[in-house]
Amino acid sequence: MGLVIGLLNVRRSILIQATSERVWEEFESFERIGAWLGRGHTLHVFEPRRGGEVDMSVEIDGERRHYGGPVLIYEREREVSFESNWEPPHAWPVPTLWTIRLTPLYDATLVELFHHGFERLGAAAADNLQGYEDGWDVKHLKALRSIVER
Amino acid sequence: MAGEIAASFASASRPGISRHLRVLKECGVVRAEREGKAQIYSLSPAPLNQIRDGWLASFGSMQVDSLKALRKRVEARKRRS
Repeated sequence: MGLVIGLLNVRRSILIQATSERVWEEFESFERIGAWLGRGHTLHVFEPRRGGEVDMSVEIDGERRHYGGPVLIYEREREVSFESNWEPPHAWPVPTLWTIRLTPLYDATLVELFHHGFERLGAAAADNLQGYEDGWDVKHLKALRSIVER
Repeated sequence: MAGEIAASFASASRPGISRHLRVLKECGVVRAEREGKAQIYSLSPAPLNQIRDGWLASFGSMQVDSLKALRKRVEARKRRS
């Protein structure tokens, strides 16, 4: 059974026209994962196994800040979950969580990406997470899909 | 101190405020320093600033772009040797 997705989460998803076996191939090494995960950020380390390490970074206010944590779940063709916290001194008292889930759907695979566990960060997180959600316009995604799948 | 903080809230009780402060301390939003018998609370703005300053927005587009890149890689070559 995979990680439970908590109440305060961000969910993004995409439908890929291939089997989950094929999609999973892109999760099997640091080189393959690095080719797609973290666009706009930088993936430094991804050890594709339970207990492996994930290290990513992003530039905020002119400063490069690292985040990541241990891989909690690495289940073939089903799920990758890892903890995500900022490196000190910016670390939260508890990490948030990332879960990437693969679900077969007809001949395709639904890939869902959840960033979750925000409820652990207190009331301020609940408020700001809504801003995160509102900022994303779904029309953007639909327009792109119609171009790509033409 | 908790008593002074509670005094500013018309309807809050001192124990209620203390419980609330304990949660905020656990979340890293508030710091507490002991001065004699009292605990002096102060705000730690860093966690709230991170949320406020828009880093979450950069995560949103990064996540969608990542999924799109995954799809492109997979659908470009349906079979790998």
